[in-house]
Amino acid sequence: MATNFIEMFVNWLMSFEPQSIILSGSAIGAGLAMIAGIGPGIGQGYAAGKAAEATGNFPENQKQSLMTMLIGAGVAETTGILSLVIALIMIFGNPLINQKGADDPAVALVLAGSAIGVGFAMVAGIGAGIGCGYAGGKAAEGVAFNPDSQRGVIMNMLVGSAIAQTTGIFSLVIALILMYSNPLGALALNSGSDVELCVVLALSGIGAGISMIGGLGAGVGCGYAGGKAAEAVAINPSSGSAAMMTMILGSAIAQTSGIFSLVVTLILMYGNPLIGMLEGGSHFLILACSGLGAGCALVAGVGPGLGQGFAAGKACEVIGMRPKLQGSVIRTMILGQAVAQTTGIYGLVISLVLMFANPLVGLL
Amino acid sequence: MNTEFGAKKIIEFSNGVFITETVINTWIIMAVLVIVSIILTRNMKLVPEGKQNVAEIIVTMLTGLVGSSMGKDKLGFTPYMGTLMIYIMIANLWGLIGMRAPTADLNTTFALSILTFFLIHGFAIKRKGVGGWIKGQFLEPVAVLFPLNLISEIATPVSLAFRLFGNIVGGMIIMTLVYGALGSILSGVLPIPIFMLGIPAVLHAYFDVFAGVLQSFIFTMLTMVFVSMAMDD
Repeated sequence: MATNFIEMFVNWLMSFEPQSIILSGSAIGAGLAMIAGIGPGIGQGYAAGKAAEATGNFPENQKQSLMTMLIGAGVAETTGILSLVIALIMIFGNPLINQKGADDPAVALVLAGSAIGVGFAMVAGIGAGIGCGYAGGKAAEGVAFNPDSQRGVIMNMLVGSAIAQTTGIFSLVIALILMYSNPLGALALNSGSDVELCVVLALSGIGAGISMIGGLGAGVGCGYAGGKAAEAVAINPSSGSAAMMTMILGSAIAQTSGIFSLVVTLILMYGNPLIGMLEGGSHFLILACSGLGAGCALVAGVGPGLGQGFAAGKACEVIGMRPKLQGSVIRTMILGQAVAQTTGIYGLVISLVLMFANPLVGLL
Repeated sequence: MNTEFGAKKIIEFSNGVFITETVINTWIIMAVLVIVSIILTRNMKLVPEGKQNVAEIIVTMLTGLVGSSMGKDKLGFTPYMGTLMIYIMIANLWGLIGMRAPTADLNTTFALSILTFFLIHGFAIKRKGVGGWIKGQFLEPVAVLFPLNLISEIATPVSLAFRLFGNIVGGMIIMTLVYGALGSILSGVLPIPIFMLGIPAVLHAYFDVFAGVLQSFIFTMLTMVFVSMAMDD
């Protein structure tokens, strides 16, 4: 009787005070959110390294190069700071324990799951940290190489970095929704805080957070493209607008997987189809785990995001050298990116199957 | 804190049909665009002066953009692509004046991306015939990839719609929370709303102006590239 163990576990969890379950989840979430610190660490290190290298090669331009590196490193810090803010809110001003229904043990499970989801969602910030750091480093190198192009280089770097932040900001939005106007908690409360339903919603909350990690790749990829565009401007200042256009287009496509992650997360939060399949019995365990699995499948998006960003970066690099070939370069880039999207789409399909046409329930 | 970030229903008829904030804001934007276009193009002269210069700059810019990204043979798309870009840009910036941006509603962005979807396939069929369309869109590079190509063709409008929606609604939610947080901090500590000006201004510049203009450009560029790729080769 496998179900008994799960039931025992759930009952054991619910024997605690509801608030303490939420706070335990928040503790895990706060810790998970800080994992995002990996990104700025790597990115700023790269930027500093490139600036040091540039200073060694072109000592006379040390000042501009240093300044560019500091701007880039500052932008790369953003997701780290956002994660820190989320973690501090979780620790010092936790909004979840004041939510309606937080004193119900079953609803508390859902809110605890959401708190863990918040932490997972913020992990996507790793990507933007690495990407923006790369862009900052390339810009610092470019400015040292050609100080006259400074304006164009910094401009490309900033636009590229801002695009690279997109998926990190999606994650922040999801985290804020989960914390301040949690739709899962409201749903649990409205349906009479049924325990089985709440377990499904709790794991869906974690899944919704994990799904957002898929945006990690887009952050790195778009940052890479931004860095390459900045480099292209430094080498050939007249190619500035062509390189930027290619970078924007390539980055937009590189974010597709991050957007799929957002779609699945929003479905799990606002239109959760799993709770419609609840019929009692041990179904709920499968459905709850499907919610978790549906989120995990989207982590595959890291790969396409990275790869498509790489394609965009290489396209920017060559357009910097041969701006006239823009049309055919972009065409090849988009065709390649469409192929690179494949595995991300596999992930999306599996996730949608788990949510809408779950075949596992039929096997029982 | 309100739990709904969806558009408010303004008018609700007895038979369940309702008109949301989004629809009303879209009507206002449409009216503004029509009136501005009429004013700019009234009394046109061969040698442009005054307001006609503004209209000509916009049209030249859009024609150049369509020409460089779709090819010179597809300049006929300029009116549609130009309207699309201007509409999305104004709609994204609508949040700046305190109204709800129509593009922060999935219904708007999906309507626009479905238009793109039909443009892609409609013009592919028109240019290459049904056989060429099926071969070019679904059987490339090898026929075995048909199911995958089918999914990625459907994924195109979905990702277009959510890219625009996610960016705009994300900015909207963050701004709502920031205003809420600033309000609650300031009412307790400092009654003078000095921070209500500075901090939101920087965030508005990023979320509304930068993201808004960039996303209108991205949506239009992707539409142009996808349509011209489906028509060529």
